Amino acid sequence: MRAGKDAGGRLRGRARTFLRLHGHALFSSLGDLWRAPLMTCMTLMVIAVTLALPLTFYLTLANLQRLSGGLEESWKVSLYLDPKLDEKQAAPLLARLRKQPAVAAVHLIGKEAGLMDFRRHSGFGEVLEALPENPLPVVIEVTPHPRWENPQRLAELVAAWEKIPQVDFVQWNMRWLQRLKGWLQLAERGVAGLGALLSLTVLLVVGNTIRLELENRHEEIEVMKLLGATHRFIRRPFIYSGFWYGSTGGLMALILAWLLSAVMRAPAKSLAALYGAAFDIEFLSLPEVLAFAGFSVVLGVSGAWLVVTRHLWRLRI
Amino acid sequence: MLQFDQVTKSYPGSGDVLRGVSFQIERGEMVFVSGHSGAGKSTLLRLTALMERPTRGAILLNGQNVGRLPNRKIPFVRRRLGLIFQDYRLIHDRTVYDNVAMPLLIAGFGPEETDHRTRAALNKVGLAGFERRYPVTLSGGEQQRVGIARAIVTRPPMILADEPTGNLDPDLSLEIMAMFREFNQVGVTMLIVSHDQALVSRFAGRVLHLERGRLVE
Ligand SMILES: Nc1ncnc2c1ncn2[C@@H]1O[C@H](COP(=O)(O)OP(=O)(O)OP(=O)(O)O)[C@@H](O)[C@H]1O
Ligand SMILES: [Mg+2]
Repeated sequence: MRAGKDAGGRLRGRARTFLRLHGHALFSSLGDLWRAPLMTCMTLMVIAVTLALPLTFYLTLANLQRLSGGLEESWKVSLYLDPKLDEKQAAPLLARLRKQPAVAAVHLIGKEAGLMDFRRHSGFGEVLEALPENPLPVVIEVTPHPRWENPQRLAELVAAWEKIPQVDFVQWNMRWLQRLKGWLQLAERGVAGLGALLSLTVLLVVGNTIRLELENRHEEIEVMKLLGATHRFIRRPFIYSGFWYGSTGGLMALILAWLLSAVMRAPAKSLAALYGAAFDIEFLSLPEVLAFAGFSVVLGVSGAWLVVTRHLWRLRI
Repeated sequence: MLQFDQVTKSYPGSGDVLRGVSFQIERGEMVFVSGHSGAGKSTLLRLTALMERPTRGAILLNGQNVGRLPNRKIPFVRRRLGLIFQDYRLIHDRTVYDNVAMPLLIAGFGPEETDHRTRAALNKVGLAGFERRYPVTLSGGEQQRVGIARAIVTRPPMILADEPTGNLDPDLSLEIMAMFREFNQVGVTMLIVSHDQALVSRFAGRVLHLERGRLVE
């Protein structure tokens, strides 16, 4: 019973010492940062901008990906005929296409129907009213057979259709959608690489700032060692400085990126409306915000840890 | 308390600074180290404070061979030593109070105990009321007394002082030495480096005389 009580007391005593040491490090690190406000602010701004950059790219990319995901994945091919041809003159071609084994269905969009469509979606209806006659061509919409639902095979078909004399040009949704996706994949890699490089930059910025601080307080650190301070004790306030740099810089980066996305929100909305799409820029989700903040803290803390550990390691007393 | 056994220390480029030095200091002794400049007095003290490692031989502190102690254990040995330096080695952007309280903070003392001991140490060296001052606003003698308060604040069993009066005038030096004798009278083992023969001879204490790295009694 007595022994248990003693052990409990010792544990409480140790917990108190632990909290006291960490409390001291926490406040002394804040005090150090506060004592050089200009330098601290500048370092924080550098960290914030460096982190906001990949964050903004990531947001842009994520929103574009969401947008492209919302676009209808269609293998349909539109054949725009020569505008001089009317519906009747298009009929033989329609029949010929229908017989092809690669074609599952054909659908003819006449000049009038095309005009109505255009009015509904483009917002330029009035412009067409002013023209003496309907400038829109007849369009044949071809749904390929499922066996041709493959970019390469479809491309061969499209190439053949483009050679038909009555066909002005062929539009192929799947092609540009695929291209867009390809570009987005490439951009994803780029953003990941850039993110890694800029994270390294933050690590170095924090490390360098802490290194300057270490040099300024070289004598003090030596004295503390002579008074029996462990490396852990000396390192602690610097690690907390790294923590403050990482967390505050990360928070500022989040605010910067949020402001940017807020500024882009209205123009993006009206641009999307022009295409008849409802689209709204989305900011990071809460788990993403937390992960980003955590990552910033990890960067700050590890930058500080590396530099201080190296410094202490080279101290030969 | 402290024993050197055939200790040799050499630096690359300086050769043997200490050569086969052996001596023993008992608990509660007051010992002076004298010798010409470059004789190796500071080196002897630095070895005792584990700021250097011996090249050969053994250094025993309380029976423990500290010459081969792993680095991570050194802080705990140092906490049982009070170090006093010729150039005081105070932290300039901290107050007198914070300077003196530093060893207690390092050792993890609680706030009440820290406050109590810090004020007691400052009282002892006659610097009560200097708590909020900064080291640069103090005279040399006052700065050295801050250094002494810092060395005694953890009540270490042994104090090492390297030329503690080297930068002070004779009256102040005498005062400081008297203070050391007081500490010694309450049981603290004192190891004091001084080349001031006249000063040393005024105090009853063993003298270890170093001559070019060798001990001559
Ligand atoms: N880190 C070092 N590297 C190389 N040589 C050193 C080093 N430290 C001391 N020495 C040499 O060791 C010798 C003894 O130095 P030490 O500082 O122990 O002398 P000292 O007796 O304290 O002299 P002083 O009275 O001038 O302080 C000197 O010749 C010095 O040049
Ligand atoms: Mg010396």
